[in-house]
Amino acid sequence: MIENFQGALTLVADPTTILVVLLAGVFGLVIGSLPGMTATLAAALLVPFTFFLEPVPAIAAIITMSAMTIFAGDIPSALLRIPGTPSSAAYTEDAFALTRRGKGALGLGVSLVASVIGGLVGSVVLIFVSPVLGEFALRFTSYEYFWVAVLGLTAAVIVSRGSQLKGGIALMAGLLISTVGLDVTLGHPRFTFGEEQLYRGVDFIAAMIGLFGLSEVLRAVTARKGESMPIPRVDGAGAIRPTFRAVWRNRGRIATGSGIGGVVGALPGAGADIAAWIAYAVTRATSRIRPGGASTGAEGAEEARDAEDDRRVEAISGAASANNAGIASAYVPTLAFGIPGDTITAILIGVLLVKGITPGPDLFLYQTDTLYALYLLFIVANLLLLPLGFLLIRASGFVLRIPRSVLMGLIVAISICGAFAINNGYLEVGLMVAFGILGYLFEKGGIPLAPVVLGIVLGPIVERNFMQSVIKTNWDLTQFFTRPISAVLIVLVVLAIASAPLTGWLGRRSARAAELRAAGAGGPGAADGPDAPGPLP
Amino acid sequence: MTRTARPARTRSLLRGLAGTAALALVAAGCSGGGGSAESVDDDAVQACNDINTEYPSGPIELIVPWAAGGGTDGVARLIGDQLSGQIGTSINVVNRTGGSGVVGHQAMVDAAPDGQTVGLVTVEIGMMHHQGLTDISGEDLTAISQMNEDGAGITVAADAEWENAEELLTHIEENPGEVTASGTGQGGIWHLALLGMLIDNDIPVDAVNFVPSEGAAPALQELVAGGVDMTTNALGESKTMLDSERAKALAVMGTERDPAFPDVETLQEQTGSDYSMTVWRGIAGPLEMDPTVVEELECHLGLIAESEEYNQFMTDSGLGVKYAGAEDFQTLMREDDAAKGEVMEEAGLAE
Amino acid sequence: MTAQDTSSAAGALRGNLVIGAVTVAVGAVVIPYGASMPFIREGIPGPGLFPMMIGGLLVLFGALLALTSVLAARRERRHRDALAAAHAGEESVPAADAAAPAEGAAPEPAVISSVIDTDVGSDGPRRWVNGAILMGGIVFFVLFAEILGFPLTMALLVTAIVWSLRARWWVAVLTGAATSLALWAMFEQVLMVQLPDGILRGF
Repeated sequence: MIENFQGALTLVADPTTILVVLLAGVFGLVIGSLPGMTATLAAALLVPFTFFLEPVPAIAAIITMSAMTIFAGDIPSALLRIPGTPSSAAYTEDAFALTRRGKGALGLGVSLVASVIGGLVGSVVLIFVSPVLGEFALRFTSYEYFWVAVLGLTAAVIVSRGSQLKGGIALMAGLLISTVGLDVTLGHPRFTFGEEQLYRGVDFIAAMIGLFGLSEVLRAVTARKGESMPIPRVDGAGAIRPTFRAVWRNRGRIATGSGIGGVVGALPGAGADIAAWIAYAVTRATSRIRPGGASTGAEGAEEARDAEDDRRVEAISGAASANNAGIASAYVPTLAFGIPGDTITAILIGVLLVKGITPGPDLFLYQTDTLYALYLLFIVANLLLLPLGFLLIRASGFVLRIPRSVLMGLIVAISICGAFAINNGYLEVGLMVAFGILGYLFEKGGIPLAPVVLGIVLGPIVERNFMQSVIKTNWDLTQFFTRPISAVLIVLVVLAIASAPLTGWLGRRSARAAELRAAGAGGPGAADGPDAPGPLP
Repeated sequence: MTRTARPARTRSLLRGLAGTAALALVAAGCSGGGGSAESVDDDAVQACNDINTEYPSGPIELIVPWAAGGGTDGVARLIGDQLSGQIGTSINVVNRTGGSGVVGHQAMVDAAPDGQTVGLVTVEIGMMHHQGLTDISGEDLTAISQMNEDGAGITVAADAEWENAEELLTHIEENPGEVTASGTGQGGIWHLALLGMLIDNDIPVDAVNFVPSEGAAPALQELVAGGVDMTTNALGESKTMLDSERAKALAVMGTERDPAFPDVETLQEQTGSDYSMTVWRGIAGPLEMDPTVVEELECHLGLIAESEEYNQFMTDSGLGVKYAGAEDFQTLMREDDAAKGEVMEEAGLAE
Repeated sequence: MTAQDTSSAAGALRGNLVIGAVTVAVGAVVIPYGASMPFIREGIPGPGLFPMMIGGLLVLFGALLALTSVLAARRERRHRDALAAAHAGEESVPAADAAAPAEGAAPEPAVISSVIDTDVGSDGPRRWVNGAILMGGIVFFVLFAEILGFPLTMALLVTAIVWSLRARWWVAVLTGAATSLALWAMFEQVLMVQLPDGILRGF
């Protein structure tokens, strides 16, 4: 193993490779910070360049680029409330709220360090666990994928704190939107209203830009005087220390998140997006930071907000580590069997084949230098993310120094370009406008937006795997419950659904009782107080 | 305002870095492009360019009706890159996805016939109008060149009980409804390949339970996990699974063996049937294009199809190279359209 | 614990009832549409199955939301009455104390320190004019980008938006021009995304 690494090291230490890694890293950061430009698109843009490179620099370009892009997707999400990638959408609200509270650099810093750690854990999973995990993932059929996707959907329950019912409505809206287009079983057009362009369905990137970005602009321009939220200055300079403190405090979260990312990312077709949502939900549901609010007065309110900030940082550390871990472990099935773990690895398989490298057992037997070089590249790329990422965070703070009116114009322009670039057409721009209005209305009604994106992203996966499963067995539904891996997943789903309303209800109930006790303790009227509040239906 | 001096420098530094990175990447691409052009005979390239000296008058758009990162996209990007080196202008590959290819093909039909917009046509052009998804067909396009062809294969899990197509077909006939198959979406090309094969062997089309999937890769994952029994995608798409011995190929649905898989027998060798089902890709433009423009593009594409780089790429990607000129390609589209329509009609897939 | 407090609670209740009603209505429209889609085989729904399930859940969630809102409002009222009764027993506790938690739950107040921003809000009908300029501007872009070309259309759009938010006219024009040119260069030249050329074609 040592000599393999030595051989690999000489491959990686090559000046061309180093240059390519640096350039691809910067390229990835730039693309990732532009909403609408995804890691997949960036990889596709890189492919022609890789034709002229040696195999190792070619792989290096794609690996470095994807690690950078996934992190950089958090930047517009924290600053402009436009998630750069679907996996950032899980914690967009939290990151943006932190920015508004003047802790944007902290939020981004935690997300960066968590991403790096997640990426490194993912790399370790890739290096040591890949044969085992790959074998495990290969046993997944449509039943298991169905349950994994359902587990992802339950994240909606947890994401929508406050009103689970409204979260449910938002999720259903997202799922309904995901059914637009040609259906999977018969190719029948649904909700297309005769418009052929809609056959391809609603692109979730256009939906995300509209729901989060444009709706925010719409709210800002229609705000009353004095109502528009001033944005505090973000100072990047002093953020490194608190960042590492926060990371240390949340080390357990990052470990869990990385673990979830490592496992879920390795399932072909599940990938980093689902990993981020599941990790977010787990972190939120198991948070031990008590939401403040019981104490009174201005100080208490401030304390409560600080507690909420801590919860947000906690959630970000869980989810951000998960998506980068997922990116790395998505290479497990790719390398072991040549099955793409996500769209980026699908492109990488193409590049590998062109370079005369066949992913699969041969790689482990005969091309170990290349294989270990690939491992090393993952570690290098993730370490490189740290300095480049901090540089980007420092630079990104200047977005907030731009006068508000100019910033609004910029957001609209970037949103339109992003939406247009998805498919080089105007349909996505129109969809973005529609979703902007929808997002605006949802916010007014207190309906959370994140579950809508979740529904749009996971809807097709849930439906496809369900329909495939029932077609396979002629509607033998017992298959969904009798398979061992399915059973484990079902237990997790039930736990996830039950946890949030239960803790919420218990919390509300005890808070109310405490309030009543506090009020009643001083007065004799307490004894004949009212009945205990009735349970929620 | 005085405070902004330092930050401004950082920002411009970052912007400078980004710009440099982009420029360097572009430069790398350009120099590489120049290098590749040398492998093709310069005189031949010049002869092609002399056919219409006015053309092209600016960047050319190459429409791809499928998503970035897929097999078709890869072929388009390589052709675009080589063509750009030969014709001396930039070629922008534009993905117009959706509706099982309807949107992209429609965009080719609707483009201005000045040759500045062409597209990569795929076999679906002859299928989707039979399904009632659209009105357009190959007749609405000016064929320029066919660039690729692949035959459908029959892939089963490595531990499957069948050793050849004959055994599989017998099993299907004797146990209707037991075998599940996958490979593509409902009504997709590989579904059609399966149905055509069943019809050819006088087996009812519902004897095999078809499970729609999002392309060949997830179908193969299901195959290996034991979710389905067979897939009918091209053998090139199964390459990694076949190489890792998790799946085995029973036959190829063509009249000739696939040069990349010389050990896999044809259906004709195994069952005596001359049934064949192939996919192809080619370059085409809207109707009423200037004949000299078509001729020039055809000339360039012919050189590309012969080039070592193109052949190497296609072989490595598990794709077959097959070149046909404008006239032959137009004929192919017409004949293929009729043949597929017939199968779809019989299989009940047509509207 | 004032009339205002009660009215905002009533407002929230009304809002939830509207959301519930709209949700039920959407669900009620989706179910028959899903049912009208073709079946895979006799008795086996295909394309329509998921829309029907989603429609059903929409109806359920909408109805539940309306129901729980009404119940919660009633419970809250009972709870408040009980609280008031408890307070009535001991006069020394001022009502303001009980109101404090409600204040704490109010939307987070602005961070006053280190605010560097200008307020873009406006009063009166101007707000809706601004909204209309934004939405109309994007529609204008969609309609005219192919004809006028990306740089010009985008510059006009951005200028209009910035100007509508009370920026000085030269700031607006400058922002519009700079933004559209920078994005044009970025997408067209570096990222190879074709933006519409319009009348600028051939330059």
